[in-house]
Amino acid sequence: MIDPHEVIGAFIDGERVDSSELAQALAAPDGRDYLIDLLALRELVDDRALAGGREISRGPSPVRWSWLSLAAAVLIAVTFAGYAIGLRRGQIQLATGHEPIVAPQATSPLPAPAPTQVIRFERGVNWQEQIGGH
Amino acid sequence: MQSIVADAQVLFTEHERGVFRYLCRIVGQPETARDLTQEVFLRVVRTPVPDSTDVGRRAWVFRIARNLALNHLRDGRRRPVVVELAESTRPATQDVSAALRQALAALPDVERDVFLMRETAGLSYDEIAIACDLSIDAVRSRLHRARQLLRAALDVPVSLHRQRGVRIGK
Repeated sequence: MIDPHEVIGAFIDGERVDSSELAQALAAPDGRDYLIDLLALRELVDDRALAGGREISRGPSPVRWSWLSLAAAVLIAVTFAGYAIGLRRGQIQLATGHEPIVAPQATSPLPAPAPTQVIRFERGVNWQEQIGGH
Repeated sequence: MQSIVADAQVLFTEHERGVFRYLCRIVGQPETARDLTQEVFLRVVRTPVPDSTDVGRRAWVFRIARNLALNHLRDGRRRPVVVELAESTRPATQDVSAALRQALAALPDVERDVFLMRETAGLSYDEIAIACDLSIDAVRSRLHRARQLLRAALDVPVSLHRQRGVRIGK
């Protein structure tokens, strides 16, 4: 003869039990109490596992990956679009005849400005030559 | 070799979650449970999967998990870690979580393993019997004992949970 509570436990575990034994077990108030407690205990164990967020970390979830992929795609698209727009604007500017900006050449023939003050140094007066270059 | 890896992949896909949850409850630390879960499936890959029924294969995976968990606990005499926090700063959910860990840690090894294989991984009595080297009657009886002990240890949380209502979910 199996303990009536064992029958209840086996029943909620999905195991095949003798129907008359189960009926007998559940006929007693403590049997019904036990059934409810087992279900509460089961949920308690399950709740803790889920509430703790302790499941295996598999890295970013597929949903997160899809968002990351989408964000990367948008970034790339915006970059190329900006490049294409800039390129097109430059071509339009050339086509409409605007003078392009040209950087001044290093060998510009422009004359240097005239000096505003001239300081002369004379050796032995206001220019002392010393060894060591000081 | 390819078939071993393919078999292992199938077992990994089917049982990874259950193995992790079972180990997590036993060792009490998700990081350690994660490492042990990887070790379980490394062993599965290294060993030819027994050519048996689904029940036998599942039980075999959990037998490996159980052995690894027991070795882990015995090596350092590590028990599930119970985090004690100051009373005033401890939310009710952490109270329950700590009480549950403590109650599980206080169970005899076999009772705890049988209970967790059933409740966290959903193993049948047949599978638990194979994984733990027990008869089906012994599984039922150990499971009953584990539940009695947990019911007594978790009287308050279980009563509070009863008030929320219960359902047969699995």
